[in-house]
Amino acid sequence: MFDNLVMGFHAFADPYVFLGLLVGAFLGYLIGAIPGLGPTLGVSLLIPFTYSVDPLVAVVTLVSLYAAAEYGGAISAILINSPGTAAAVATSWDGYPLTQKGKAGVALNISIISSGIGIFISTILLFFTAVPLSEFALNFGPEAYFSLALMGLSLVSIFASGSLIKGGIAMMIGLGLATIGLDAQTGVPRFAFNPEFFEGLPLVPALLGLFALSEVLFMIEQSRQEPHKSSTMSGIFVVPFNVYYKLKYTLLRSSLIGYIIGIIPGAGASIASFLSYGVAKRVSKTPDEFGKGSLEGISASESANNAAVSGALAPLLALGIPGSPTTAIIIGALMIHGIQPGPLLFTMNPEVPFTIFASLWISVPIMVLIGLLGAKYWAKVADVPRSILAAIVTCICLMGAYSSENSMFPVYITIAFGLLGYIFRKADIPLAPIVLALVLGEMLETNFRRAVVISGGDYWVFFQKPLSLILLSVAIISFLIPFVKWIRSKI
Amino acid sequence: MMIHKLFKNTGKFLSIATIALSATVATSSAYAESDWPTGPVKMIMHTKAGGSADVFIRTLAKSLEPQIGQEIIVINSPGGGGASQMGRIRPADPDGLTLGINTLTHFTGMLTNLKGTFALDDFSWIASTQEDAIIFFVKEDSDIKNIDDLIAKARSNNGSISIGGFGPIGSMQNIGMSMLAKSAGVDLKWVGFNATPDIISALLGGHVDVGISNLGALKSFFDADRIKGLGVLGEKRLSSLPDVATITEQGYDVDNSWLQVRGVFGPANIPMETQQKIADAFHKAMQSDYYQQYARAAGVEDSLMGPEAYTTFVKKISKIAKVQLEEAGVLK
Amino acid sequence: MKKINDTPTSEHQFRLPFSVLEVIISVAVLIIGIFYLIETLPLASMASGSQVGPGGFPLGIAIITVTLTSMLLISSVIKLLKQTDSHHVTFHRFIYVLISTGVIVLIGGNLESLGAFFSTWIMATGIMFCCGERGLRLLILPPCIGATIYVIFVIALGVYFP
Repeated sequence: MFDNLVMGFHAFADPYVFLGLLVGAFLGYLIGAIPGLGPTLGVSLLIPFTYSVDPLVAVVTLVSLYAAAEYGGAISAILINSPGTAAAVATSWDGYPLTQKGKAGVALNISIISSGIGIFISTILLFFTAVPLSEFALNFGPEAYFSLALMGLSLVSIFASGSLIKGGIAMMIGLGLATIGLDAQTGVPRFAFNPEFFEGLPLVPALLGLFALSEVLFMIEQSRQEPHKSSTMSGIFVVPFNVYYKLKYTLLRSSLIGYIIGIIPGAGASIASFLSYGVAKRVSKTPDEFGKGSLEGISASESANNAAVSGALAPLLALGIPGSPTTAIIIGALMIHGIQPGPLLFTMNPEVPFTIFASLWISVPIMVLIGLLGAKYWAKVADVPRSILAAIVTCICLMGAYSSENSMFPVYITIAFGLLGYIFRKADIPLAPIVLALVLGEMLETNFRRAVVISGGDYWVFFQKPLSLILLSVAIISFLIPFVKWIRSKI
Repeated sequence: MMIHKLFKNTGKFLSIATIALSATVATSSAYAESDWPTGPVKMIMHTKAGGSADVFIRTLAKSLEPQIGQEIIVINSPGGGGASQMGRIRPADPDGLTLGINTLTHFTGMLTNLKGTFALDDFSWIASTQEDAIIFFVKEDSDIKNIDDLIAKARSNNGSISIGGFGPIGSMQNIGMSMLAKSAGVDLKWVGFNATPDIISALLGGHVDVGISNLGALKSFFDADRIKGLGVLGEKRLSSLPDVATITEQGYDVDNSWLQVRGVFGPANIPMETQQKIADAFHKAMQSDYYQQYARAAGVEDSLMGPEAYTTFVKKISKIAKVQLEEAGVLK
Repeated sequence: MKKINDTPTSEHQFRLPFSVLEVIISVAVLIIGIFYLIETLPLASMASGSQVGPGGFPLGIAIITVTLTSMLLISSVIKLLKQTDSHHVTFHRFIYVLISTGVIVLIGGNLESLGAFFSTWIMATGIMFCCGERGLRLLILPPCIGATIYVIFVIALGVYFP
């Protein structure tokens, strides 16, 4: 196993492999930082470029782009409140408030270092546990996926501050929106008034609208007040080391959560970052700071969504089952190069998994360096006059929405959700439950129905399987907490 | 080498941009003659970049581009169960410069959700390129060994065998299952999944009893002895799985023309001469070593129907689909 | 250097008691919820046997949404009648917010036909105007933004416009 790893590192003696890593890292940062262009789009755009290069160069380039896009996703989330993917939404909750306080540099530094640590720790876990844990993840049947989704949804009780009723309404709106489209079990169109709605509401355009476009309208409101000048950064390491030392448990825990959630096919980086953020807030000594610029919040979300990258690679390498949409595309790319990902990959093409392990480790210092060097300049985005920033954000969001499907439909979705987000924020209706429900709604419903079909109409199946029972209990307890608090406050 | 490659492709993108600006001029002049091609060919896809149909066309384009001496621009237009793709192809000039890739889902879609929006006659069905038979498979250690075992078990347990496959009731694979169930006179439970890897993980985890899929996604699991085949729905056994008998061989009466196909189509009224040229060009490009290597790895079989044969096939398969969907209760 | 429109802010303000906004929103959500419920009913009747059909989940969602919104509506109406809540929500520079919304809907809604360059040019001009930008920057910057967007999306990423 270790000699294979040496072989993996040795692959980097080839300058093209190393160049591939650099190209992937740069492009990944860029594509991740542009709202609307996530890792999935980046990887698929890069595939044609990798046709005629060596398979190892191709796979290293694609994997490093995938990882870098998760690093880059935090940049727009922090600077302009535009999370380009659902996985960066939780980062924006604390990152953007810090930017508004003039501390964009600190937020960027924390996010980049946390991302690096997330990748580093999770790759160690990947190296030792990819095969056994991927086999274990097969135990997740429909009933367990339902309970997992419900547990994810129960995080609403941690995220949503303020009115219980408003949080509930927001969650229901999100779940309602998630039912739009062709029903996955019967194929009947639901609330789809024309064929464009058949495949459901596209998530990324909706997020761009809810967060970024609504923020533009707020910028217009406040454009007469001068923004906070961001404090100038002296060096690239503006955050003292002891800050990270204090975050050590958060970083470890979040990397672990990110890795494990990443392994479960179909869960992915967004659920990982929400879950890790929720847990961090629950165990934090200063939970009130969350949502106002907590460093713990940023590091929890960022280390988890990057760790999920390694996690998603585990079932891909061990079994040939993609753990995320991006890894599904990487499978396609490997096949073009004549490599068949599957249960035999470790025996037939050991150079592929071990080069990926090596590339993930080698990429950490490179990504962190690119990030920190860049952060000094990116933080200046916060100093751009509001009028110009607002114009740029609007244009990028709408263009990003258009290019996600090469059509106008996602643009309309972005605009509609932009107005919705503006009005909801005015009325103190929290957006977090909407996002959570949009991400989890389909998983919740289809798996519930699949489980009931398999069990032949027996609803107890959710309590009979141990994995499902555990997740379900956590979900129920966490849903009940706010009610208990509410009842206590009345007594 | 990499750098060189990058520059080359940047140049390509630049030329696409300039071509896009003058596209209207180019297409209108090409309309008069029927020779193909006289400009860049736009391939409109119903999948997102990276999907299996997308990998297919991008791989084929590598051989096709130098052969026809033209650029092939792949445009991903996902959404609406193929509706956004078909919505772009239908109004295009019938000059053979706007084409798309279709699968069987296009035909079932036109019978169900897209009925009244699109019809077979709105398009020219130019050539078939790939066919992919569906396979019933189980976990390696399953006590079901063949179709007979499956039917016997389903009969004794009265419909408690769950079958995992792609798509909702009325999907291509679901119809495949219904054909078998009807011919044997048993009930099978359909569990629909949104992606083929999900079917495989549910099967390997023991959450469904039997899986249905095309060979492409399964090949590596057969190679690793993680799954075994029960039967193939098709005329003959698959060249890469000679041990798995067809369902007809095992004594069940099913319609063997129910195959997953991937073909090329365009807007209606493309001159027959042009259609033939397109079909020939595609089929010639498919003979390249590069494409063959991919196709064998992906486990798909070549299909080489020209415009006439493919149009006849499309009409026939559409009729079968209609009957099957009516029986499944999806169509009334 | 910076030329920002100097009209007093108060002219553009639009204040609303918070409970009134809550009432408006809950009525809107309630109407949509009821509409959703009506659309759900034919789906719910399709339930196959003992299993949950396509209408099961939507029906639950619809009922909970309608219940929760009604609760919000009632509590806001009570607050409004008692007039205990003096909390107000302020829409600053709401005329400009309205104008920019119009620009986003109009130009964004025609993004495809206008093309990447022209639509971003016009949109950027509109948004910057609404932010109070009046000077030379309003003429110079938007075409630059448009050109940058064109280079990134159309040339580098190969996004296709018909």
